[in-house]
Amino acid sequence: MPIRYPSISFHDRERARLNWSHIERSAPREILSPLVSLLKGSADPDTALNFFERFISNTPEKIVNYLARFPAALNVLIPLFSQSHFLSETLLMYPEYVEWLHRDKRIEFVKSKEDLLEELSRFESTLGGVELAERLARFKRKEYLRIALRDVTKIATLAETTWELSTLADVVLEKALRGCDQSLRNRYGAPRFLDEAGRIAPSEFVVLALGKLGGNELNYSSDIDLMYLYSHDGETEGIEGRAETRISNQEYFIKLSSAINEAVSRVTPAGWAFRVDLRLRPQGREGFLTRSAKSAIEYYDRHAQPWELQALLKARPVAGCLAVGKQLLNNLQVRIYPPEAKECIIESIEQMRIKLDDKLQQSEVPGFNVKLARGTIRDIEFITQCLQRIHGAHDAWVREGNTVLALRRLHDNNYLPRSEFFALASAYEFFRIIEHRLQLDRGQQTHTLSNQLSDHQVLALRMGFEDTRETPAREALLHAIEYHRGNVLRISGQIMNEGRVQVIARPGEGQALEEMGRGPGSQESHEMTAGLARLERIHPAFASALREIDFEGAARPGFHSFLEALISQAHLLRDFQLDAPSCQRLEALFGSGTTLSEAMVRNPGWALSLLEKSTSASRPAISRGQRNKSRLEGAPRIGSGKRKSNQASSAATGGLSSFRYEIRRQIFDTLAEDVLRQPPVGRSLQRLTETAEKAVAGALTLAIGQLSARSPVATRKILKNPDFHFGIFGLGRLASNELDVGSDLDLFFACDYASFKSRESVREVAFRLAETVVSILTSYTREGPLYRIDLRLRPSGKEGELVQDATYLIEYFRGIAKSWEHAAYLKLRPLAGDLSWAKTVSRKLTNASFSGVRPQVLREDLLDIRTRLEEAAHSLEGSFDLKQGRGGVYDIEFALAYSHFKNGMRYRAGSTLREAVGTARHRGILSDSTAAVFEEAILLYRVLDHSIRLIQGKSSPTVDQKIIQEIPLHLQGRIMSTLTSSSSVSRFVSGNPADEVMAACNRTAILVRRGMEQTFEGTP
Amino acid sequence: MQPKEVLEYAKENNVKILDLRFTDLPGLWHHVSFPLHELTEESFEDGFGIDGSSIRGWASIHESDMLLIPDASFPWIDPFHEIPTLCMIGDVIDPITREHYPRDPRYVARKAEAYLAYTGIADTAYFGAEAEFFIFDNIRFDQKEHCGYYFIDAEEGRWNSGRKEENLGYRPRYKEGYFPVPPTDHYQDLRSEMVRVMEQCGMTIECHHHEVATAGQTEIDQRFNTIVKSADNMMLYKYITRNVANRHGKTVTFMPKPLFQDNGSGMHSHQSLWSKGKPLFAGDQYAGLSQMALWYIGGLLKHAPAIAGLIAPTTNSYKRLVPGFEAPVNLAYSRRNRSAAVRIPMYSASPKAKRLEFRPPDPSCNPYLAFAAMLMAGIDGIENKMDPGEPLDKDIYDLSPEEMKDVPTLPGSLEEALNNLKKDHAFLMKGDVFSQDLLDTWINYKIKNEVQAVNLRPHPYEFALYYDI
Repeated sequence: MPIRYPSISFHDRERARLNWSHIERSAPREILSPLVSLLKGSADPDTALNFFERFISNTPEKIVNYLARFPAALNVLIPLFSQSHFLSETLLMYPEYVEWLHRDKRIEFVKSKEDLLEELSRFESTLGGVELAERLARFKRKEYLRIALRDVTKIATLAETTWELSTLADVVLEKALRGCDQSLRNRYGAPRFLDEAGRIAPSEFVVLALGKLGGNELNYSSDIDLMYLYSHDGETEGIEGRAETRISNQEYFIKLSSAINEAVSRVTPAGWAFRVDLRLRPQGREGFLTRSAKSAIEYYDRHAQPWELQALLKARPVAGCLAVGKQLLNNLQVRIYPPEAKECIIESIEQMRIKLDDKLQQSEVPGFNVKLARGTIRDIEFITQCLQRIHGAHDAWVREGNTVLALRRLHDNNYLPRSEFFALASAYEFFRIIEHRLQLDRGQQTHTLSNQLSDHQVLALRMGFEDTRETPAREALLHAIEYHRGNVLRISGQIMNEGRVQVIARPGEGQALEEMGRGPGSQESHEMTAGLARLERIHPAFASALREIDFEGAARPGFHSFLEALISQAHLLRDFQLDAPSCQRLEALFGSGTTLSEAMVRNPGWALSLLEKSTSASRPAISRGQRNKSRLEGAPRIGSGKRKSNQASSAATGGLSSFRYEIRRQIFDTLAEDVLRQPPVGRSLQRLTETAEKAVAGALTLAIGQLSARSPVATRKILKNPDFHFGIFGLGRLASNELDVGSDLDLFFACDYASFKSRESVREVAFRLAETVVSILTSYTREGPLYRIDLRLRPSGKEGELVQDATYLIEYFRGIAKSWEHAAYLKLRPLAGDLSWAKTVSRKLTNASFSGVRPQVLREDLLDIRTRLEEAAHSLEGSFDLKQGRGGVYDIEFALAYSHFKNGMRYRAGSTLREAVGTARHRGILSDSTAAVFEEAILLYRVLDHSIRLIQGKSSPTVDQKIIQEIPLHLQGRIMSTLTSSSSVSRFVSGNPADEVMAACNRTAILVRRGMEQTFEGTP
Repeated sequence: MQPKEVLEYAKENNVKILDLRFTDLPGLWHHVSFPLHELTEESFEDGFGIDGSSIRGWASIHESDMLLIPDASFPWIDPFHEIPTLCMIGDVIDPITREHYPRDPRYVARKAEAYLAYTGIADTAYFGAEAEFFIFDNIRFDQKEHCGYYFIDAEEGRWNSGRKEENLGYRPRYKEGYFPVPPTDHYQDLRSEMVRVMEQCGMTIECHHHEVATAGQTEIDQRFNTIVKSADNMMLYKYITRNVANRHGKTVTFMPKPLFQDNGSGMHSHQSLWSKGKPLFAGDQYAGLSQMALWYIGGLLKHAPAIAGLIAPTTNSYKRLVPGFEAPVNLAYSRRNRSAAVRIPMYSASPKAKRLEFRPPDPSCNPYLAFAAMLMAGIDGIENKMDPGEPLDKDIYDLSPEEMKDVPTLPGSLEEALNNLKKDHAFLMKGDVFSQDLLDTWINYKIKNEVQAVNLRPHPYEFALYYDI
């Protein structure tokens, strides 16, 4: 059947017709139909078709045949052809890269620096005779294809894309340095100096990155801002017999710096690797190309301007001897973050903004500058750096070069309120994506969106906005720009001007700015009204339903952010029907605290799918692949990674970002159901624990994959060796299936070294595995870490080995473990790794622990520890520490631990605390009355703790009236029903829920303490 | 040559002085000389320092130190100096970072060549430019507050036909100088000497002849070459013609339109693309061109109004680019028709000879920038498959007004050309070939120093028109 000329709205129909007729003649029939599908969904079908015609006309037959056999490879070509001229040219030049990209089984993985270094070495070996600059340029071109493909098909997040671009630059610099250094050493010998002891030592060199590269947030077309430094002055060793080849280290390193520049930035037939900008070095354009670390410190101590010091906020050593760079930056921390008056900092930043305004005014490039215009990227960076400078002097945690991570850290330590954090992070991501799309087009260093409507439309489509019946995509884009700018300007005004908002609109920018309200109350109302008005243009029924809801108090800011997120992703609402019950559910979800709110704002599709599941079964679920919305229905998919299910193992095979996404989704689903259905709290805690277990297991799978992929053969052999036993064990609430919001994962790692002759190499592999698992679980991303891990329960705590030798571990518990360790390890449960081996270890360790414990000593120690913990508890008047306070959870845990050891009874692995109490009663090691008190106390404490964690998003040990009053009404039901069902706690009917709860806590605490004392005394 | 070979070459020729040449932004050659003992193998890496602050269009005073790195591939012995002088062209680099100076026009041309290879469209672009010039005997000009004048005299000038003294006649009539034999052609020997000197300096010359205008208008055709080499040759060409003429008491000008009512001097630029030694412009389309060549033409025609600001970059250029006088104002293409902006020479059926001739450029341009701009326009045409429209095989000047109004034209002034360049230059910036800074500097320089300067000054003919108003 002939393929008809596609009815796609091309701008240049004549050219499209000509292109299509050529394609029909020269392309295999098999690809025509998928080609039409992909063109229909592409952002710029004219350009895509044009490039495809050029591709198919000039590409070798081998590649054409490949396309015929694997039409899915079109998913590589068409997105790139549609989004990027300069990358399309790369594909035309090297058509074989289609196959490389299509066959890449790791397309969904982020490549590490080690991966790229290895690949660059392999790539170079195929380019015999090609000089260094061209090799680097070609490698960069190739990797850019992969990074951009992951970006435009939404496999990668913005953070991953900028990270990979930055890592690629790091690798190119490292290679350039090594190549150039070797060449210079061949001429002049190695640079050296005499140390304090008179010994000859090597003088080292480091490349420091600043700006975007320093912050690991490089663009496609950014310059890389560099500074070159060396450790010590001295002289090179020269070439034997030729004294004239000895030169000063300064001269040597200047030549090296210059050679690196040349290698990285020279224009070759393959283009260039990166544009280098050295103007941020000491003394700018006039400064030496490189200087010694000592000289650099002197400069920054005495001569540097404030803006130069500010530039060091993002400094990061990227190539060469990183230790030299790190030491320099450490030495300069006091200079970079001096204790300064807040007003001075704000003033200096305001001056920089004014200079930028002037620069922008003078620029004759028409259009909207997403980097420099007020309310865009530069303002967000200024806000971040302003706060960092204010607080970084006394709080090292906020000293982070990456803008989004810095915002996260500022938020974590309460220097930036939640809604402001989210607004700024969202705005930053949004504008950076615009910048990426603009630069991806021609590979030029542009930040300006032209005034042409056609350009807006193409950009909007490239960003994933869609045309709806009511609104073209470009309008949605402009609304989103307006929204984000408004937020940034408001926050900027608050921070810079302490309450006064100055909104400065540059003439001719073509964007109307909404004046934002002045006070928080009226401002939120205004924003809500404005947001609903905008939503009405996109989905009148949805907006109308939402108008009926009165989002109050804490629900309001979160819901407003959700609203704006929906507007910016209006396609999610297509065909979506919202009814009154769904609206009520939304209200409940937003009124249930930060964890759920933030998740829904970041992923509005999750919220919608929740609402939809509970409405009509016949309506198709909104695709969870909102991140893959560039893929068309039915279009063949690239790569071999497939997202199938909620299983962490399959998520793990899908790559790190998929993995994190799945875990966060599962946590969200659990908490959402917890809020909406309010099941017994134990069920929710169990589900959260299951998710964490999957995360640990998935992290281990990913870690093994990463190590296997990039490690030497010896490491891979160890990993595959059936005698290599490695396990991850859980303790604390993770072990007892009661993990909650904000809980750390109490873990330790163990390995069996006994079977190996070469213990050191096995130990190294085990350590790297453990470190990688920890890194995967705790890496700091825009959403924060997946989990926090606590490894201090391992033998010797912080000083102990990260991975314990199983044999040693068992002996440790047999001999020298302390009482609190015996108690803690009672709950030990294997989670991941070689589970069969881990269970054996667990059993042996438990036996060793029981044989090593002396109950009398244990009793005294536990009572002593309990007393100290109680003293350290946050016991203010009118408050109660649910965990450590007198009569709190620790009373129960300690009593249970003692009774188990005293009676030689093993703890059933995985039992919840309540189940363990039930089992203890059943086996007669706890009295009935004590067990009953304990069971009901656990129920009350857990439900209270869980409700507070849900609202606050973190563990809060203390409960008081105020905290209880903050628990929204719809969550109080479960608490009150717990009180009602309690038989041993008399209900104090006051009519005031907070009073009732506090009274119940106080009474329960008394009873629990009594129970604990009786257990330790051995009385019933 | 390699640096070592250059040193040997200098030694063989008993060279005493090294003369390094570089081109400023508007297109004038500059030089600085060093005793030969300053030239070592290391000099080809370390370079020679110069002060760039006084060079037109370059750095300001606070960033003026530059280095010239001699290009060993093209040394020649200067034919005009008594003391043996080795000449080389220098690339300009920043002395600290050792990056190429982005406003060095030669660097722009290098980048254009690299970009062509980057696109994969071709690996080589060949340019062969035919720069015409006049040979005068006397030139006087001045512009003061109260006067402005120029007086040209040339032995061959038709206006001397009525001269009383020393008059043997045989002067080409206006627009009829193409190309009668001597004695009407006064400069056969002079041209031959120019050719001989050019070849001595390593250039390959194809022919020389008198041109259309009177007063010694001349054309000497060089063999085509790559963009950078072709531009290097063009600079040398201008140098040699001027100095040979000077040696004989004559003066040469490359001004596009020094004489009223006679033909101006153009720089018709033949160009073609090649890949792995094979020509890409030969095919079975119109005039034996390939589809790629047609798209290239489409790009040239589309962007001509903008690149006019680089290829015809003086106010005087627009005295030449007026209808009639064979000036290619109309943006059309044709085989053989010299009134079209693009002509397809039909001298030879060989694919290797297949090229197009772009006729609007004139020799007042900076050849590095002009060639780069034309190439980038052509590349853009190929990438975007720009249709050049139907060829025009009629004489454009015989078309009716209705037919003419559909034929787009070049801008009518330098100011208009520069405004077009301001609006349409994205294609020049691909691959960072032209930077925004360079284009802004160029446009601002031209507006301030040329357009406004000329606009400010009363024109002699205005007196004739308006003195009695």
